[in-house]
Amino acid sequence: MAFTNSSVPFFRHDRPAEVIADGKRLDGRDNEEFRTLFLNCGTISQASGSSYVELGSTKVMVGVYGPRQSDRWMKYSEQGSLDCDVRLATFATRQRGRPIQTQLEKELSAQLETALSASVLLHTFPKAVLDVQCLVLEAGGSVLAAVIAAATLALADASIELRDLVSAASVSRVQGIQLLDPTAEEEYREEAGLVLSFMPCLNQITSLTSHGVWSKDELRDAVELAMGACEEIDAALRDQLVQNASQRRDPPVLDEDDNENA
Amino acid sequence: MGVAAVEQPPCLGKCVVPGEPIASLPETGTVRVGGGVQQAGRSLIAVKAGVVQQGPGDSLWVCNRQKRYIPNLNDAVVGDVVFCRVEEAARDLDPVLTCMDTAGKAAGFGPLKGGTLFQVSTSHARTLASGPPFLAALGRSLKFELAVGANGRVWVDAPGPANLALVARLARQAEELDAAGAVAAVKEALASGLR
Repeated sequence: MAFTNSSVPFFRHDRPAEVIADGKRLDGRDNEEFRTLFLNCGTISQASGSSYVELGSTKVMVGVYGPRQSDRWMKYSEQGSLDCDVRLATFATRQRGRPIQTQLEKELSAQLETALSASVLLHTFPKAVLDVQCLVLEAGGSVLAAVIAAATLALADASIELRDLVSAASVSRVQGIQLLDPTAEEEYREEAGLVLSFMPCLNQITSLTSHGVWSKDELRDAVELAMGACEEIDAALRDQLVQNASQRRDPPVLDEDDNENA
Repeated sequence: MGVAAVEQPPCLGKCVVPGEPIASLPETGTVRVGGGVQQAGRSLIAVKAGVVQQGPGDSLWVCNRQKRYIPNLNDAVVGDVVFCRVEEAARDLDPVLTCMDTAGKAAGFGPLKGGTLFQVSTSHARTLASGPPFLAALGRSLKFELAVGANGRVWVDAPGPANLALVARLARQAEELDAAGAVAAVKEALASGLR
């Protein structure tokens, strides 16, 4: 029997019709401002390296396993191989997802591998395979950018040799205005979008994925905007890794009343 | 000139991150490059996240908490039952182990009977192998035997299962504490009463 009561909404909230009102974004950010970034390393204890990243409402967890022996049917190779797997949890999207890997997930996996393979020193683990498993817990916009940043953090946590940290940012063009780090609602209303992944120390772009129609000037502006954001995200990644590397838990200092003094 | 061209480089003890330059190559002389460091043009950059340290033979390397072990010459390692030394280590071949030291004597290598085996990160194994003060403090009150491998595996033996569990627990916990904290933990454990 079908639900015929039309007053019960199918979705709890409708998608907003306008994402830019009076030149301002819905969440009050500037056009060139990205959302709050939260980073954490060593989230999964069984993994060689792992990380958890929150970019606004987008939440991604990555585990790096290996390098371990590759399957016997794979031929001998002087270089190691990178096996990236991105999954969206079924509750990650607005509508319940499917448990099997969808086309979007396959595309994200391929894009992640392109972004990372320029940085990972594959010749340091010949004949072995490195598994990078990403789980997107909530897809709130800029999913690929968050996944790339999280994967870099997890690889560094696993002590995989990297040429440089790879950070990524995404830009959407809505009504002609370029927005950095779009939310899911902004991405839904975009005319064109791109995701750039960048290695700031080496000053090299590792991947650029764009969709929609871009003029030459618009593309240049968007790429520069994304590169600037990547530098800031890279600084945050560095801080997190330095904090992780130098962490040492000292025993708490107690005063005479047995209260902890910071 | 020679190997000591980079004497006490200012970057020692600095926390580095992949892509960060560590030092630039001097005009003359040689510089030994260790694990986690790569040459890029005229400078050395880190390829791992960790602390820059100077190893044997004035080499620069990046130390970090790593679960995976990379064989190095002359490291003492603990296998499932055997304490041995790495004789040959090449990237594409399995490492060759031996139970004799360079002079051909047994020197404490060989099969280990009894006790318990557990795993720690490679950097903590190095700390344990260098004889930290908390082990000396423990040894004054308790009899135990300890074999530490550079591959992160630690073998402990002590009379009585309670003592064995205690030594193993303290050796593991010491990774999270600094030197003074580890000694304090040992004192506390001994004071709480052990047969």
